[in-house]
Amino acid sequence: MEHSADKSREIMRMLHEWSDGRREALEDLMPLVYNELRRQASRYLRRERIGHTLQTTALIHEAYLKLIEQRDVNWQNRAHFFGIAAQAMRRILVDYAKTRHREKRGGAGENLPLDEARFIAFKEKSIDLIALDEALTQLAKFDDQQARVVELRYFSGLSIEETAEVLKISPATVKRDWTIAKAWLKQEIGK
Amino acid sequence: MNSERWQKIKGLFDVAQEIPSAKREKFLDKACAGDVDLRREVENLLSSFENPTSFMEQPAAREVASLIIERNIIERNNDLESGRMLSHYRISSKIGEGGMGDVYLAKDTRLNRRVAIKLLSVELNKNENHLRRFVQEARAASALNHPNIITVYEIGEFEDTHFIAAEYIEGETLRERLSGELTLSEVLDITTQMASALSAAHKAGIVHRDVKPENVMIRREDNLVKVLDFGLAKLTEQQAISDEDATLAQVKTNPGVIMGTVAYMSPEQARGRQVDERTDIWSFGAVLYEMLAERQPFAGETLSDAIAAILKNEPAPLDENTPPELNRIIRKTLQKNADERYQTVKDLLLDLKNLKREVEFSEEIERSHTPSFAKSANAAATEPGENATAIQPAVSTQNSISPQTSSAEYVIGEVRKHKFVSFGLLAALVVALAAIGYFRFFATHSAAINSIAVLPFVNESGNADVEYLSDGMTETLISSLSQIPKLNVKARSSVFRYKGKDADVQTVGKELNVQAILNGTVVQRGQDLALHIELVDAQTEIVLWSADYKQPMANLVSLQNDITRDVSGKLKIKLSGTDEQKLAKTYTDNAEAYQLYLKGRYYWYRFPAKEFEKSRDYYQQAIDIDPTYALAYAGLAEYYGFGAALGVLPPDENWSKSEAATNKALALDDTLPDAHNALAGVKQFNNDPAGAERELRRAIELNPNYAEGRDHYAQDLTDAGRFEESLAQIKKVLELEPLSVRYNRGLALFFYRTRDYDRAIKQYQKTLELDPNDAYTHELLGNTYEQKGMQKEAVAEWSKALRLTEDNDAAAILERTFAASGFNVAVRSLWQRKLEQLNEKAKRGEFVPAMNFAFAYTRLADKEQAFAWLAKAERERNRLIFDVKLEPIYDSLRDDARFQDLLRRVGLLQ
Repeated sequence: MEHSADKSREIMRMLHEWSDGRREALEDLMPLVYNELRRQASRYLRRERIGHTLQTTALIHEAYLKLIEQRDVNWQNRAHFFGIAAQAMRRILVDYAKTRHREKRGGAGENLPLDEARFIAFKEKSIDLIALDEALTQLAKFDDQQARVVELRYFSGLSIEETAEVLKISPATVKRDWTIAKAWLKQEIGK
Repeated sequence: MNSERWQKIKGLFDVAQEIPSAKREKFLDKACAGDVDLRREVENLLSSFENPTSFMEQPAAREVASLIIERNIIERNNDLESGRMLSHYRISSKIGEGGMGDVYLAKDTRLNRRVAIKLLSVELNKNENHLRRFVQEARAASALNHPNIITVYEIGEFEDTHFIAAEYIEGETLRERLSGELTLSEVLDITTQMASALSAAHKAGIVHRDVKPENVMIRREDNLVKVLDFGLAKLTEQQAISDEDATLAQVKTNPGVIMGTVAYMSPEQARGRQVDERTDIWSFGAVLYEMLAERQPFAGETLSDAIAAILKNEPAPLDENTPPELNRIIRKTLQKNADERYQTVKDLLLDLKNLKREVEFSEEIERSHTPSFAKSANAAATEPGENATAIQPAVSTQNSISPQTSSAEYVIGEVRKHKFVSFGLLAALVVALAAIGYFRFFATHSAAINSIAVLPFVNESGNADVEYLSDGMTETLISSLSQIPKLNVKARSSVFRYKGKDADVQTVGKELNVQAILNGTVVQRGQDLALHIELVDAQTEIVLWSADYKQPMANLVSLQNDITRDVSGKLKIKLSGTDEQKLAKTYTDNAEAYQLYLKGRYYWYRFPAKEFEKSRDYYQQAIDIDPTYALAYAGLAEYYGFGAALGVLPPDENWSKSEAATNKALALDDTLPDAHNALAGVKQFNNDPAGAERELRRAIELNPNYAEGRDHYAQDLTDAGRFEESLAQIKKVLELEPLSVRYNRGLALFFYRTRDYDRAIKQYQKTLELDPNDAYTHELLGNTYEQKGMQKEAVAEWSKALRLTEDNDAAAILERTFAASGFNVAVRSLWQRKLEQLNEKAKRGEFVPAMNFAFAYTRLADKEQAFAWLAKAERERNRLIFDVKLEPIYDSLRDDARFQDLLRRVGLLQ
């Protein structure tokens, strides 16, 4: 990660602009996130090994470390940063899934050569991110805190403790919220 | 749902999920108090919670990443979307398609400039061999610096996709330009620039291989011509030759591309033969022809028609207004037999430039004097084979204009117009003759020899003492011939496996994949030396050439030189002046010093036999006679460095001696790869890993076929954890030396060290196919089986290794204990015995590297002893200590702080 400092600064700038209402900022952020995901995915492929967690949210963490270092005044606090980052990640990842979904319906993925299909074979049954996104929006309507827990945990990749810190609630509450939110979402998607 | 209700549900859920399911019913009955909906909600949540299928266990990014993997594969078959980042390039739009891949306009976000990105197509991306070749070639081409050659900024790889970032040229391709009208001077302007580009590339040893209008850009602002894609065609070409199916597939999927290229293919390319710069001359001629005729010289409805046209047909004559000199130039570029073409683009360029000047001059005159002046220039320069009487030598024009060109024989002449017809007839005749000659040429013998194996000369003196001479002369010839750029000469270790064996030419030719074999016999009688040498076609076994030499020993150096010169001459390879100089280099003029050096080499190769130590004395004696003998110093440097690095010599002053000899060698001749290689070892142990890497790179640069240096580099890279680079070097080594046991074993060891045991096992087995009696390989294979937990196989390999080193007792003990008490006990008993042997050896006063003890004690799980010996090993300063980095056996020590300290201290490449 030779340019990680630049990258972090860029990420922070874009997140900030986005939170300030510049919608295109998210578009600018997207390629960065995609690239990171791709880089990881491709490494993953090359090693042909499963089970290696993709630390895609490392990007966000790195950016945050820089943020602390620089005492960036644009960010009120850690929670603010992660809140925004999680929302951004959610948007980006769901958009990605949507694009992909459209393409699939268009049939682009249908005639994969056999040897390439092999690579995909290890893929586990995937979650329907689009449905999840919709359900999460529903959830936010009656329990905003839970929705934010899901965003931070699931889209931003934070641990229980980190989530608790960001939301300024106890880890036990996070755990409870996370459990029930998951149960509800699962049920909602499965409908 | 509202939040109040949700809070209620949440509260019930929280409690319910904590209590055992048997009691839940009761709890919910009470808590919901008849609210059926509420109860259903909570129950649903609970069952969802208890459903064991994993859900949201991994972050969302993980989900998306798997989509990306899938998508990535599909995407490469589709266009890249605008805005997509490829490394630090932001894709703007697709600007072209080609056989090699698509071209995009992109922005370099770091340097903020526009670039053209050429993506390698999926098919080409797949084959590692092709890729490596592609990268090599592209790197070489990117070093070209010429105004008419596109500047390559980067050859990169991003997510397994290889790409080239190059200068973006705003303008059109020659193909596009061809759709409009071109004046003669425009044609000449463009083609001289093209030729100038080709000439620069050829000078650097790079053949374009795919000269065609699509690969020529004309910049809009100033009409500057840029030739693209140097050497890239090698990629598809190799594929076409090596893999017929792939070609067919390509023809099927992309017929246009293939056809587009075929039209400009030279006959030798069409036949799938080796090509050289004269192929570019042909293709250039075909382009030039098309620019004038507005049609391709060789065309056909189908692929095979087009190829047949290239091989057999003559292009239709050009418009009769075409200047005869231009006709001559085209004819000379489109000779089917490469030997009859222009031999260099330089000559072609000269002719073009002269013609261009004349045409410009005549057009100038035309404008100012006679409006009817034909835009034609005539040249009287004729080929020796052409009928000189048919074309008169240059005469002045009626206008008495003396041309302002340097070549006085070219003149402009409208008076000569009437001669055109006879010239045309003559041209046809010459072409017909050339065609006949061409077919005869191919029927009798093939073109230049590009690959050769020099088999060890046979010593027929009846005296084993002069074995050094036959071996040494062979080696010298091999290393001299290796200097020839386009010649693939099999290295010493590949050919010396045939020493003393009666291998037949065809088998050797096939095994080593060479076109020709050089055999020789050496007889020494008194002070006279007699040699017989034969160059044999490896396929037909026909002797292409043979020669006898008889010289007094005192003339050994010049004799060796004569042989090199004669052999290289017979290979029909064109040599540049510098090549010839390199080839003639002798390093010493003293026959005696040379003999001593050869003796040194002879003993050097006796390793691992103890005799190898004699080489030092011979090198030293050679130096005593000729203190300027760089090669002998390099030999010494290698001796000390090797001895020190591998722990075969006691660790006294080896490194400093090696350094002294290296410096001496390099002071005398800084182009000796061996000396740079030796210096790398010295630097590595003087804690200068960066310096070591520089020396290794320099050695490889000096001789890209230097397997030894690449192998050394690969080991350093492996130790430094730079596995991908290391693997690339190892593979290159194996390309150079496919049959070498040592290098094949090296690849296996690489896999072992990187813990890819399955690959390691396969590669060891492959190595054993080359030499089933290589004890070391058996031992290492055993170690690998051990790591895989295949104990029976491990024991079997180890006992094979022991028997091959004639330690039958140890083998028997190992097998017995294994059968009786299991693997661990067997391993212990084996290493107990090995430790005793090491102790005995040391007691006898022989040098035993401390690492051997460290390894034995680690095997015996004696940590304290192991660390004590590791500390000693560190002081010994040989590269065996590097083993600690990756050797799995040391895993048992890895957690110890002492081990971590050691790792930190051991200086490796960064």
